[in-house]
Amino acid sequence: MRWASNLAALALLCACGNLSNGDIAFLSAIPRSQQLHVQVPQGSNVQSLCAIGPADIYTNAKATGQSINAGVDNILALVDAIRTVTPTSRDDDSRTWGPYDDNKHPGVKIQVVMFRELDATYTPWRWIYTIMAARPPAAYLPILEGEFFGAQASNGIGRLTLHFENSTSLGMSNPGDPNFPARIHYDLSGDPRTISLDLTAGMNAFGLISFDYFWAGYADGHGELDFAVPDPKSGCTIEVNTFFNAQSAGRDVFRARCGVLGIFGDVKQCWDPTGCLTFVNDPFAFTPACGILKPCLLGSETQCPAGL
Amino acid sequence: MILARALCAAALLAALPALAESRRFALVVGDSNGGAGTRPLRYAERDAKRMHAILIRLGGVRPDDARLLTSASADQVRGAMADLSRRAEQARARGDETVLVVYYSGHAKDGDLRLGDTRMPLVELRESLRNAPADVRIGLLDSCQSGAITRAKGVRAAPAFDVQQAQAASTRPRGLVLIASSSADEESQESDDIGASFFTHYLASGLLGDADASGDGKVTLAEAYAYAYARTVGETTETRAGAQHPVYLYDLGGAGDVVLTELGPARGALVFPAGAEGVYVVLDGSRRAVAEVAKPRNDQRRLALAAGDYIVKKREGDTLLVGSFSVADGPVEIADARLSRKPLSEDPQKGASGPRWSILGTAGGQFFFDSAARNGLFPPAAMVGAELAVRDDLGHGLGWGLDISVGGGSATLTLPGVAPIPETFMVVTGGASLWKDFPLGDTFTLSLGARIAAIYMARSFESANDLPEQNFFTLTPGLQAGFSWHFAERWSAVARGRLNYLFYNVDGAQNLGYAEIALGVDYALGF
Repeated sequence: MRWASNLAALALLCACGNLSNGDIAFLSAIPRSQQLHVQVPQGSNVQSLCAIGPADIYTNAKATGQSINAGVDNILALVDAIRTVTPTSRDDDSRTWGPYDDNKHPGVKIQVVMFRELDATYTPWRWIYTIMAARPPAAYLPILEGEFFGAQASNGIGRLTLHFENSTSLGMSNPGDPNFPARIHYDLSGDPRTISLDLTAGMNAFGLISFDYFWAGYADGHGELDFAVPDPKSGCTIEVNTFFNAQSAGRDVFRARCGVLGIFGDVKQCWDPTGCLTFVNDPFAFTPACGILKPCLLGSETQCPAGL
Repeated sequence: MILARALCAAALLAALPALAESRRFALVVGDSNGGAGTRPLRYAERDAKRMHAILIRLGGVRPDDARLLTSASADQVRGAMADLSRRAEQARARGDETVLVVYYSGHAKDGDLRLGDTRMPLVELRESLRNAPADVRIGLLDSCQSGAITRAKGVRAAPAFDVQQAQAASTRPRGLVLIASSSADEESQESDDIGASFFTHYLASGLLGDADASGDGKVTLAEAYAYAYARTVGETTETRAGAQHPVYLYDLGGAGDVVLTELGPARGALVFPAGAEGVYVVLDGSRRAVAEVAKPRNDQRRLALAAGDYIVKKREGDTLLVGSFSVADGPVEIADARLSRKPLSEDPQKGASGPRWSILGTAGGQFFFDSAARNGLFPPAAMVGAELAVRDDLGHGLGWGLDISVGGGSATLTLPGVAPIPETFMVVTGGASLWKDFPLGDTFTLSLGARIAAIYMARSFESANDLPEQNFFTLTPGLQAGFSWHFAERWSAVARGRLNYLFYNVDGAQNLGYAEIALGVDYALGF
């Protein structure tokens, strides 16, 4: 049987490549940035003449959605980097990439490890994904940690934590990056699909202020976006719950957090698909259309979109 | 009539005494390619190498006085001729008796030797020989219509009585002898059975000893010619092209014949004793014919062979007598009693019909047995391919080939819990195979063999372009079986199946098997 073992050895020497269904299974579990994008209806681009006034909150929601998406892209760019790279080593339930020299940051080595295990709650897999970096001989620090449930990210559940504090300490951060952990949670397994970007660990990141941003999108096109923006007029932080339908009409409820002045009560607004306010109930006149009128009641609540 | 003329000439030539001392030069040219309008010859270069070896080993030509040119241009031949002429002139100036032998095996047409895409007029060669500064100049041409060289203006083919008259006028032979393998309007034929041209094969056999009619251990020009003439004419009588008649021009004055080879009693040899009778074929270690002995009873023959292992075979009715012998420094006697009787199917001669080249075009498919492997990794693939095949080269009924196939298609990768992922893939395989042909009557052949191949597979996911392209390469041994139907002179239809083994080691080690099935058409190239 020596010839057989020799033949097997020869075949082993010659067998090479990255043809692997396992690799595809691992990559399928990793979310793509497009899958985690907040989708706020963009409405009409034509500026209408509005009877009451433009829906500034809706405009803020669209801009915030784009900022959230930019933050998601920033985080997932690191994840995407390994998609086109053949794993360095494979086991039945793990893949390892690297360690590699980080070309952008001399002296830094990067290693990516991904495990999977059966999970009783989430079928069929729980995936643990870690990007680590180090400046040898110092120990590796996690740059990004992810936990995904489900075979396919497009209908899975997961969370990602980008450790900006570690990338900053390793000299890997970009100008404008925060220096605190940023977290993404997503649940794409049902209706609605939800995505949150938790920036509560620090002050500002990706052009957004500290807040736990949340988006829920339903299959029929309606959804919810919770966000916070600074109000330059009052110096307060406006915390907003927006609800919109597939036609871009919506309503919002917001309250202002104003430091030493405490929290104001709810302000209610509705707007139509053209982005014009149809109803305002603003006891504090935060709405520009109210001018100095307090309490401010404009339009009719019957003009608010139904079902939201 | 022709045979009688040749024998007469041979007898007259044989009457000459041998030369005592001489310095010999040889220019040996072989060229299979005759350029546009000619079909490549199969044995011209091998014939040249064979003659070159004989002239050096037995013909008294020092290795540095011999030039072997294969696939050379006309200018290279002219250059070698000029070089040897200079050397001959220097030797003659020192008082040596000089002999220049020029042998050519290749194409000739329309009065020219055709050396690849270059030409050398027969007249030029003849005049070069005539004017060469050697006492004896011998031209041996094995090519179609080569007899035209003896029809030159001012020179006539010498009849036997003219030779005898000329011989009496001088003490040592001087002049020109031209021997051509066929007359001016005949084709010179090659034989797949003997793996050589008829003329050179019998000339070589004669020079090795079978032409030594006098039994004095020396083969003279006359003996060699007479032998080659008789055997060539005799063996080509039944061929499709008809009998081939060597011709000669003898313009040699002086006394004494020219000894072409000295068999040397002390050298290694196969000796066929007086009691042996029949045609014996001697094969070398590679099982190709190196000589034949047409042995009459009561006459001893001695073949002077280089040291080595030989197989001697003799056909006797529907069987073969076969024996293996080692030749060293002494004679080895060949007697029928030392040969074993075997069926004709065990003919040891490699390529009894010579190697036959063909090209095969195929279309078919590839299919892995393991369902998990078929899932995206190695999906069923449509394949087209080509194979260059050589039969009867490594042995009678044996074939080998080199093949390449390409294929591919679309498939869907299915993973648990993941939406089906479309993929496009390609497969390239190339391999070498060895098989045995089993004829089933005149028109059908069954082939069984083995193959070692390399396989390369690549796939991409166009609908998920952030997934990487993947590939795999490995060696894949296998077994193959084929069935062919010879439906026209050069054409056969072929059905072929292969069972292959593949070792896959990316997602863990797996031993995989797959089948390849193909239908094709085989075209015999005619060489």
